[in-house]
Amino acid sequence: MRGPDDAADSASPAGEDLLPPELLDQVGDLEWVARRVARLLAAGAHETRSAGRGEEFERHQPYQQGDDLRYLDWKLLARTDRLYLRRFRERSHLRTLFVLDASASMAFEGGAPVTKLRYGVLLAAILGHLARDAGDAVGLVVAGAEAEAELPPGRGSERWRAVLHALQGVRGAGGGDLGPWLERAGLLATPGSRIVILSDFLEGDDGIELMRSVGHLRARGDEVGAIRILSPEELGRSGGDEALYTDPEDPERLLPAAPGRDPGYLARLDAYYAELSRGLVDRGARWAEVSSADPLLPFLRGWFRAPDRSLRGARA
Amino acid sequence: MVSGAGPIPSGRAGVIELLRPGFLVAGGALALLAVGLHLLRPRTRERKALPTARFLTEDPRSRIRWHRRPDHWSLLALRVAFALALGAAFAGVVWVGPSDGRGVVVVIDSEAGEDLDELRERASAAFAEGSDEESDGTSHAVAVEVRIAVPDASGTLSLATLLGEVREGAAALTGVDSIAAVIMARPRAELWGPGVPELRDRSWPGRIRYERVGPALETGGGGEADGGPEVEAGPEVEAGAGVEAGSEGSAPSPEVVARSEPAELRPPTGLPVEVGAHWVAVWEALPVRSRSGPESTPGTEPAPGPVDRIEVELVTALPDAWASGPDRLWREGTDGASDRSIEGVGAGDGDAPGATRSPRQLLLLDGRRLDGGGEEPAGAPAEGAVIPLLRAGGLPAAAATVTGGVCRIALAIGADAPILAGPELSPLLESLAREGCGLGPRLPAAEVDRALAVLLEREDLPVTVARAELRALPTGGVDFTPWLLVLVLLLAGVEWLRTRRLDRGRRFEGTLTPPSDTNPGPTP
Repeated sequence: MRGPDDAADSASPAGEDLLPPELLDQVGDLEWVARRVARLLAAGAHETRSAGRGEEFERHQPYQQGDDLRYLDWKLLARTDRLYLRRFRERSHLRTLFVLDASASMAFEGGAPVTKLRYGVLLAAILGHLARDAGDAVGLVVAGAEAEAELPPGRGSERWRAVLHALQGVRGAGGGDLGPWLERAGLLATPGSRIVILSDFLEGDDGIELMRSVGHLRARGDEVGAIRILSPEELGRSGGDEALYTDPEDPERLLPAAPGRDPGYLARLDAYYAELSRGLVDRGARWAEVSSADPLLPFLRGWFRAPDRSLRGARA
Repeated sequence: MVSGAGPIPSGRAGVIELLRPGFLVAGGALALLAVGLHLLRPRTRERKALPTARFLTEDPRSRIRWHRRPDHWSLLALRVAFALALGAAFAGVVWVGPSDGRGVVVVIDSEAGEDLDELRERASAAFAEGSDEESDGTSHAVAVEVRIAVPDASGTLSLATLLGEVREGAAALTGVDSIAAVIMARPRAELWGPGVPELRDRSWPGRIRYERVGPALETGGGGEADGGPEVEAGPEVEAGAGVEAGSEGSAPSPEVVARSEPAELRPPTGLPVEVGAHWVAVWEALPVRSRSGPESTPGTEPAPGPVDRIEVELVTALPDAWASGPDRLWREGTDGASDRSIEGVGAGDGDAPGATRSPRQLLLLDGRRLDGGGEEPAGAPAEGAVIPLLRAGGLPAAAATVTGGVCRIALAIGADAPILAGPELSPLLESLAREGCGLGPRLPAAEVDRALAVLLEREDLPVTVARAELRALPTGGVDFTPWLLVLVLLLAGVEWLRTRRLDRGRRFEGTLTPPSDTNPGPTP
């Protein structure tokens, strides 16, 4: 009988759909999920590893033709008369702080097997594991009405477990914009940190405050990454039936509509996010979009392969 | 005044009838409306959450849509039952027990004849002895209730009085499934002119069918009224009688005869007033002899009169040619109101050859005969002379003409000539006979009165005015109206409770329905 480990191990770039988000969601151990996905990511990114640089010795590797002789272990050669290269673990010394939007709009499945919030939790756990494995200090800010976690970046297993525990218990409720939470994140993380925002970015003020906060963070040297998570129904890929629609963050307002028959819906949606993403990118942030129904691995690979390698420091 | 309820043999079995079926049709329409409203209901929309709802626009489609199947069947059934019960309650659903045929209420105007007892007996016998031939060939004997309607002190027989008698007579009939009302009265303008439509629309707990009853005359020269008082009438409405001038012995003796063919004085087509009452005047010849006069001295050859026969006809409107000629014969006097102060009346066509008068004369109600010069002419009217008689106001009421020794007198009857129904009728006819026909003293007033009596109302069944068949509720039937009203109230109460409960349920559900697709979050 195959267990989650087997499924994870058998995953390959060609069969990445075997790790759908619902499967990962059903695995209760978030740390295990993060570790497994990180391992798969490392396997896929093997050719990109920069061996040899860094400060902390990791292991010896048999010499192969073409390897850089600068990392040849001459002492071991003298003792054993064999060629070995010295491999070192690269220390980034970065601080990664995840800002997870836990508003009511994130607690929405919308045709996906998991909610946007749960998808964001999985992403944060995986990225956090990668960052921690790379030696980054990892912290977490849960932006929501029931926010119970404001964990500044820290190293060590204790902090990581606290982050995982906070991610595991996060619930979506309330509303509000991300701008104030980014200001809070700026206080928790020292300048030069890496701040990853996981949200649907449905801002009440069309993102004006958000872009201002991102601008502040970038001005002090922080790296800012924004991952927009939307459900298939929000993206017009499913649903769209005639109904009385309400915004979870504004449940009193009911609107009889049929998104499937509303040709302007997607146009307005795209225009909103185009404007928001342009504003963030113009301020030096990185923008990525993902559907909560998409498998995680392809998105993460795309994230790391993107021209902007600001998060490449979280390497295995 | 009840008499002569005839035997009632067995008739048809009990049936359920509707006194006012139109209300049941209206109830059915109301039920259909309820069904339609149940098919037409608000568009039901599921309440769903969508974080990007801000980018949606309101669906322009109507919030109401037709459904193939009605909702809330029980409520619909209640409402349909309510509508039908309401319609049935007003429709007058009655169960008519086993009946024995049709009854007849005969209401006789107390002034219809001299001998009311005889009238009553004859009416009762005429209907009781007859049988009502049904369309299916079966024959049902009838019960007859004869009542006498007495005019009030002013001589007016009101509709209320008449219908009251009909109602009382109908109530006295038991065990009949329908009631026919036959009203026999002298022609009364206040009743049979504009009153007929009013009678037609009069509220009555049953179906009222009017039949036009024509004269019972079959052949000229009069005879026994063996044709019965009710004969279907054609479109023509006039009947007539004739007064044949004459004297005892060789003298021409005036004789009342009945006309058997349409009179020459037939009113123009398109009668201005539809008169439901028709004149049935004469049954037998009545010799009328002149009492005095220079031409009627016994033993001497009477001087030939200008006319030897007078025919009196009843028309609904005088022919235009009789009412007025090409020349205006009468115009307003200097005082503007009196018809007696005539000056400068047109002479008309001039005197006929050999005539002593103008062919057009004007006869006033007081008997004066005027010609164009305003003088009272003397002598007999010329051949073809038309002598209109005007009542106050200038409207023609009657006219006389003499042609070939026959003087024809047309009496207008109807709403336009109420004078005929009043006390002026007798002097009017006398004036026309004396002056218009030129009989002069040869026709004494008593003979005119007698002829008039024969003509109008003094003998036999003078007038059969209208016949109304009333589908009244006979005694012994069951009226379901009270029960239906109770059912209506009961259904209305249940419907109200059901609707209230449904509304409360909807409100309660509205408070419970959360936005769909809202996930409270991952389960730890």
